[in-house]
Amino acid sequence: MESIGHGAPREWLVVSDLYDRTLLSELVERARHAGNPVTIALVWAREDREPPNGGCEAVDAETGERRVYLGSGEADFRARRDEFLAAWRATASRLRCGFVEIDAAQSWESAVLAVLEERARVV
Amino acid sequence: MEAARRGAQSGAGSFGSPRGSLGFELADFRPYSAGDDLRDLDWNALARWNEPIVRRFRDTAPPELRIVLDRSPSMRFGNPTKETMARRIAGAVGIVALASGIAVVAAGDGANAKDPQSWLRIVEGCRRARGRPRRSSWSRSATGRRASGSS
Repeated sequence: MESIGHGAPREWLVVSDLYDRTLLSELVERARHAGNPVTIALVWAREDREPPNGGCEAVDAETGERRVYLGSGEADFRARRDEFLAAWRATASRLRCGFVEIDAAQSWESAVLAVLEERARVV
Repeated sequence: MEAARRGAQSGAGSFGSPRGSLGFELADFRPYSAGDDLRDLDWNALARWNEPIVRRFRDTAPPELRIVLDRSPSMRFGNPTKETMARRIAGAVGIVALASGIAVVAAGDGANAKDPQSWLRIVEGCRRARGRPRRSSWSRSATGRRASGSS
């Protein structure tokens, strides 16, 4: 992280589910403030986007925190997802980064093309 | 962004310094003007002709793409996993960039993957990664601290 912004300009490509907002947004901010073009590829799993039918237990893979969603939690799930996405879109727009969403289940050729097209837009 | 765009329009060496004096390759000479860096002054020319001349350098640093591949535990979620797709994207973009003469670096742990074969191995690593979470030393990315457990 410390090396960002030092030396020759570089282009950055971040491929992530972006759940670590603090670290990744800091990385993107630093790179952009150093004048480096950045493309963010947000990779979704289907389960990240669509709430499961009925109840489920969500486990935070990093902290181990468990949270139970009942069937009625669908609206909460969607609201959180939309809030998360809107926050990243706003960050990308503010910093003039490329931002592309990738479904982990889509063909990898189309995913790569989408990333390359977005990269070409910002570089 | 504007600087990067201007650089991109100039083709090779697309990340060239707009100031044109911080690189390593001598480009040309021109008379000194106020504000020029004295370190660029050609002291031999000054001594010989009593005229301040500055050397101009071209930034020859090669363009570089840094790929941050998130290998945190949440990337192992889904079927196929997000990590599988992320590795494919990183590998394929890395190959395309290398073919375009851009050096590619996997950010975070200082590991350089500067040849197409190494990026092909990264793509191929998807198969090995499928079904069982695994982490190579290569891919401890800028988010590596998370991947090792501390969030």
